[in-house]
Amino acid sequence: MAENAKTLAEALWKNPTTKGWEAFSGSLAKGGIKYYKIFYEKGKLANKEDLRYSYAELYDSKEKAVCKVPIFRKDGAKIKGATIYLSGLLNINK
Amino acid sequence: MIQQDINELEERSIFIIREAKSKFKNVAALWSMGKDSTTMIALARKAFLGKVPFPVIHIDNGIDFPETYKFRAELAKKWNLDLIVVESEIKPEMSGFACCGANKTVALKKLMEERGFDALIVSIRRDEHGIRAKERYVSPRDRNFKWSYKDQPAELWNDYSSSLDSKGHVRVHPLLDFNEIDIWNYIKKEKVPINPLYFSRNGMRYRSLGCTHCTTAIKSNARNVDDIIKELGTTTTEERAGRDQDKEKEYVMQKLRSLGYM
Repeated sequence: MAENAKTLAEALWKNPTTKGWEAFSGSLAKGGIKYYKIFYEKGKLANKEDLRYSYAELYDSKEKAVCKVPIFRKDGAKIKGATIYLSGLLNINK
Repeated sequence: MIQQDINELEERSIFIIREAKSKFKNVAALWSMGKDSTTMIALARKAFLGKVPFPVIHIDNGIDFPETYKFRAELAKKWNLDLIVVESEIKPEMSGFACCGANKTVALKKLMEERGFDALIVSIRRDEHGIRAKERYVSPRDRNFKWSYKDQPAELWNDYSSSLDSKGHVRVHPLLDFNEIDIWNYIKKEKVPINPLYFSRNGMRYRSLGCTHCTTAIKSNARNVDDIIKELGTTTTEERAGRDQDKEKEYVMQKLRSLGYM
């Protein structure tokens, strides 16, 4: 299951479009993913392009890291936030 | 933390919400899915016998917490809300955090122009921030969204100003008198559904919610509403300690609000 999530995450990095995200988010529950943490080490977000440098790490029910995914999606030439596609997961940034 | 009579607070808030609906032609409310705006919607439901009679607006920068999006979808369905989601940009601004500062105001301004809203219900509270303490229940904004905090109506004896600058609007603040602990007492009393991010996991919880990039959690073991009320009775930390925008330059919040920020 975790391997499948990793493969899907790799595909998502290559194609972070709405279609790519829909395919990925559909597989989240099946992949045993339960938690997430968001990382961004550049400091203050200046614009949506900066979201390229941010990512979410996803974890299974035992809080073991499974894969990393982007938190943006490409909409034509535009970059948009994509955290909505992680709905259903629980935050452990806390 | 001072606790007030929540029945009195409820009565006043419902009166203000009903006044807004009857005095203005086109009312809308802002909903961030946080505890305050969700409480305000619960009050509006009570004011209008279970149905919120105006649209609720979420200004979405695309990077809110996944729990927040899930909560939005579930509650909008459960309470049959007329939800308007407006996408906001993230780009450098003169002041405030790029993800939630003046950029959200730009998106809101555009929507207000398109839909012609003349009153906007906003769930700010006086105890949250010094500049919010200067607000009125009904606060006029000019056509450019600007707020003159040095020149405001007096609001004596429940007489709330409803005069509008042409093409301007008013901000209506029904929760102005609530303290943070009153909100939680009301949530407990009315069993208001609440975003799960407020509850502790692994010894940390969010006390004030923004987006994923500008909000940090606080140390807390409060795992339910009762625990939160107990915790607030003894805390010495300010509510918005986890919100980055409040840690910027002095008077940033004052500047943002005068330009129309929520």
